[in-house]
Amino acid sequence: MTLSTKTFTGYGALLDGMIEQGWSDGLPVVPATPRKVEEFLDVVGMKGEEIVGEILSRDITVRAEHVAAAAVMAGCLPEYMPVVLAATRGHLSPLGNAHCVLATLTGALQTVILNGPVRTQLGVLCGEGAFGPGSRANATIGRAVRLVARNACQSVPGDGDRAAFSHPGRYSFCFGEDEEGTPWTPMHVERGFAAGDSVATQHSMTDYFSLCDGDSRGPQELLTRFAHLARCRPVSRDAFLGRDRTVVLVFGPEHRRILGGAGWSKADIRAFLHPLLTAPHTRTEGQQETQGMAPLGGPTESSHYLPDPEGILIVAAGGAGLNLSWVLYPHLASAVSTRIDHDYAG
Amino acid sequence: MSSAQLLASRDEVFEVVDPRTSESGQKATARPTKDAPRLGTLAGAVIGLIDNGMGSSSLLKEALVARLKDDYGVTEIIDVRKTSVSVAPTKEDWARITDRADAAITIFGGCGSCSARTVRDAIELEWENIPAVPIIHEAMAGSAAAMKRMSKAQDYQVVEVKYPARPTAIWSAEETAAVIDDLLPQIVGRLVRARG
Repeated sequence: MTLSTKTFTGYGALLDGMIEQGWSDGLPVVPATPRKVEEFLDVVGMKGEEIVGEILSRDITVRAEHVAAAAVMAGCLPEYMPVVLAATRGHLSPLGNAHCVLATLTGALQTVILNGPVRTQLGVLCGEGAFGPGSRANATIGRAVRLVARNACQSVPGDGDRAAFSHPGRYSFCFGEDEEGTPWTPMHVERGFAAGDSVATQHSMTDYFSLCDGDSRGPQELLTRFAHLARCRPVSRDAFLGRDRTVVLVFGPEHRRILGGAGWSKADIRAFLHPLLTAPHTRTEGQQETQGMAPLGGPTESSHYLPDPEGILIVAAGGAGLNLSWVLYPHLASAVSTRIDHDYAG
Repeated sequence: MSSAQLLASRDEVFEVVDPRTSESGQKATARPTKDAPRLGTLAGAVIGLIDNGMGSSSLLKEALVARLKDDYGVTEIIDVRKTSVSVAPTKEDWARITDRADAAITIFGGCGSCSARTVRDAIELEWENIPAVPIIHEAMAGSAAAMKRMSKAQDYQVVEVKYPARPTAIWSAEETAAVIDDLLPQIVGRLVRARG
């Protein structure tokens, strides 16, 4: 391990000191002792100095020891380390566009969506309360990815993080797909992984909107309303991302009853939504598009640049009762799915 | 040690790792620490212009090119439009600039990530021995400072667009012209060495 160490005398001094050093998101962190960091590295069979990824624009090389330290500090259990590692690899991959999503004024948050056996083995919330607090796995895995962003990627507010308001989801945002609660094909299988694989999908997003619709009675009506809502914001064309533009739609159980009950698969939903989402902006005559930002009075709906229907990623999650689904808008990055190199099925 | 023991601890010495890359992860690279030599004049020069497409940067580019040619005798512009606001130019586009440009201008630093990358583009051109100047909005000075720190070029100079021009570069043609009037002497001052 190449990380330097600091010493603190007394537990209170330790807790305060780690925050004063600028290592924390503002909340207390778990002490990353060298022994604890080594324990986390052992789980993934890596040496501390092994490279996980780079941000060339920042001259930054992220090593396994940075990821392990962040996971310890976030409060992860050792068995979460492979998940944090996979999510970090996705974030640092070219399509993760890490410098862009970390320095943006929009305060894009690094969402982690989990599929496969890892969810049940680690107790990841997928149904009720999936987006919020209540599970150590959800809370600390999402937090660890953000501590990697802060400490390893140097995304510190006022320095390498330029978020104008930032976002509470930047403390942590991790949830799993409710694979058991739907007959739909899980997202990771749709993206080419085996059903028994555990997969972390890292999605840097700017905003999310919810559709609360208890009126629709059929799939077409529901999805037409959903598309109308989703088009409140654009998904802009970006030559760097090319055809790999993605948007994530999360359907709650009440809406899944309408869609699945009518026999609609994820592929059916995509086929219906794609032309609606990608239709041109609707705006009044004479108005000019300026990077998808609407001048006063319009556009009333903004187009989603999604060259392929497969760019619409559909996830089943959330609890019963409320007629609620979500659109998670991308920043200038693609959702990147990474296999978690650990056997959670055994 | 249990949580209760930890909380009661006053004299225990704890050793923890520094989780940052500031020392351990930052790439150690041998690069020039000084700016590239400045030009004697812009007359007859070939200027590389790296545009990230931010806001109305195309208007800024058009106006800038016209004034550089008309007022300063620049003979050719190598026009590079980046594929996204906050990424490096492609290798092919980078080579178009580094193969032939006498100097370069990078635009426009109007958001958090693109301002940093605009500065970085210019710094990397300096490493290629090409005098360069990045144009950012004054609201993005902190982002520029962060990138200069990361690039170990803390003293590198940028040219700033001032308020009331909006940071996101959504400007009219008139606003753009006013911005150019203000910027041009500073741009030229950064690319051409002072006389005397």
